[in-house]
Amino acid sequence: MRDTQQGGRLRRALQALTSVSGLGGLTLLLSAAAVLAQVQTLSIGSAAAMGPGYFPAALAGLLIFFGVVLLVESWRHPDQRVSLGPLLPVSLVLGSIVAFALTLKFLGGAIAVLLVVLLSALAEPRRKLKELVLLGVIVLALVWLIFVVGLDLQIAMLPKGLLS
Amino acid sequence: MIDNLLLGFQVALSAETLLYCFIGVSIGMFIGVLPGVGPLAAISMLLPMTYYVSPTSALVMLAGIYYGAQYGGSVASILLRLPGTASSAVICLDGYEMTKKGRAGAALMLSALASFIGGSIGILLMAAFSPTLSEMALKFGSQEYFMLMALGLVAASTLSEGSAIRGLAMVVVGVVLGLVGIDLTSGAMRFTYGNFELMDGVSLVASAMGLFGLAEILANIGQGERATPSSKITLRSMMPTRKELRDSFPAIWRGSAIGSFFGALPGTGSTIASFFSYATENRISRNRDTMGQGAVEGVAGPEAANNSAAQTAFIPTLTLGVPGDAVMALLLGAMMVHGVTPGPQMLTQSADMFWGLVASFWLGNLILLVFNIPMIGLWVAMLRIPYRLLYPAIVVLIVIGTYSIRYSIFDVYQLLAFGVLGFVLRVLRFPTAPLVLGLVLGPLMEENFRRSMMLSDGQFSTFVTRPISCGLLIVIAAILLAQMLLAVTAWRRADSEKETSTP
Repeated sequence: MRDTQQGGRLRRALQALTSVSGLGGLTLLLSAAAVLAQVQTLSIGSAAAMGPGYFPAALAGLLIFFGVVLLVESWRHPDQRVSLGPLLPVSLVLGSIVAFALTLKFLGGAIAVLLVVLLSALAEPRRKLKELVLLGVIVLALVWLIFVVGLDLQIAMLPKGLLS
Repeated sequence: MIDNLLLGFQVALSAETLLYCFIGVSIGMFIGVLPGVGPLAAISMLLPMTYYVSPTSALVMLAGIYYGAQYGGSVASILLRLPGTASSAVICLDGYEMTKKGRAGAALMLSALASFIGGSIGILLMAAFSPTLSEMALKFGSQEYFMLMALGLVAASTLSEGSAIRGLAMVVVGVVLGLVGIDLTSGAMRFTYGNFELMDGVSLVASAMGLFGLAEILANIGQGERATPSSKITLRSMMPTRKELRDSFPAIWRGSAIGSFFGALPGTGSTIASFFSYATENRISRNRDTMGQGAVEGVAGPEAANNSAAQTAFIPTLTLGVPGDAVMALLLGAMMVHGVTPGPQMLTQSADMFWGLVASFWLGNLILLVFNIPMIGLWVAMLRIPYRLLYPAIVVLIVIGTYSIRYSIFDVYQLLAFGVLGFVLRVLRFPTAPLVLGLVLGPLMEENFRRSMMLSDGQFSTFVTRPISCGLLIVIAAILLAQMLLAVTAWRRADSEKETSTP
């Protein structure tokens, strides 16, 4: 009898910790821990002559308070599940930005921009090839007009090898 | 005031300023029309471009995007029952009913007219009250500033949508992120983890674009295509009838008054203003019985309210340097990037800029009224651009915009980090707007807090013994207390419902 009760409690606690509020609270507590770890390296000073660590330490206190409040809330509503939604579109859009960052210096702006357009466009299902090509060309033309011609941005559009 | 306004129009009527005003309001109108791209995302996307123009032109343009979006927001609300911006959501109710009755043109015309009148009233109030307010603010010490900022943050995070605790937590996270970089008082590095590119702090543009621009795209992709408008709008169908005009005007006056009031308060922006105006019309307008079935008051009132609020929101931002919401925080950040510190000194030190802005606001409103009515057909056509073609272009704009500020790949990674953060926060149902507010105000708050404590020799009582600071503290306490009471009653109600449902 007591065992099942304990098991129920444990399950409820786990459920609460992985609910929306529970994970939110844990995130805040983790952030507070990160801030406090950093504060360790800074001098706190006194109220009249604050060091660089004083204000962050106070903020960490607030984060802990809000984190605890959310954990209490999660105990009351353990049923609110976290829903991530489809992750593929999200990672394609984010991945397109990584591709830009990795290729810009070596392959030039034109290819980097095309990569962003293609990868992020694939986040939406059922693309037609013709549409993708057309979209890429139009966006590239717009980028060139706005940023290179209009704003005189110093971005090498072509790969390095082709210029020299 | 007349002299000041004349000076303002001199600045605002220069070819350059006028051009950027026109660009700003047109982009704003465009963004406002498109559902799924809000003014916050638009302003953060265009922030980097303003680094190339003079500070006045930059602000004129960015501000134009903001109030232009308020104009455009109602177009999609009226034609498609999809709010283009949050503040025009309530206009869907009667606006779309008017469209169903074949009065879409008149609804668009009335909303443009209401926007113009509401905006003009907001601007007049701004011109009238800013000098007095900034004179008062000149007597403020760091204690008052600290409390003002705290009030702004508390009000903005608790009065807007969602749970107050989550909003406040995000403000604190934002303030922490604002502290990243070199501490100017001691020279110590904070939260940089040995990275020199973080010395100047977290990039405002990267954070805003990641949290708003990218986050909006991530939230919208895969949602399927939205509806497109079917009817064609002719100029002739846009003429409101006499009765429609007569019924609109009282609603416009009431909406402007409500909007001006809520706009100037911290934390309550145009969205709350437009909802409040709708509620008022629902109760006291002559056609209250037909509200929700296509009453003109339901379009004119909220539309006047959100535009006057968009203008008066500039009062605390410019005269006190304390932004009331995230859009204003971004503008404040943009001003600081350009070396302009908003605050009471702005009216004396950069009078031409301040009054130029005020005058340009009115010209911008005029441009929106005069140019955009004949262009309605074009805006309607824009609604036909499918989102799946639009968003890859927006991603490109965001990435290049971030990179271009200092040609830094590291900033692109910052953008990525904030995009991921924005996604995680949305999954955990944390609001992101308070975070940016905290990010901008964080360093200013720490500075004023430090100075207050230094001046008072470490006595925390200094915040209570100074009358204005104490008054602000009481307001903050009252807001927090009210929120706590609300939360407790909500918990009680949930408990009693649980008991009745599971006996």
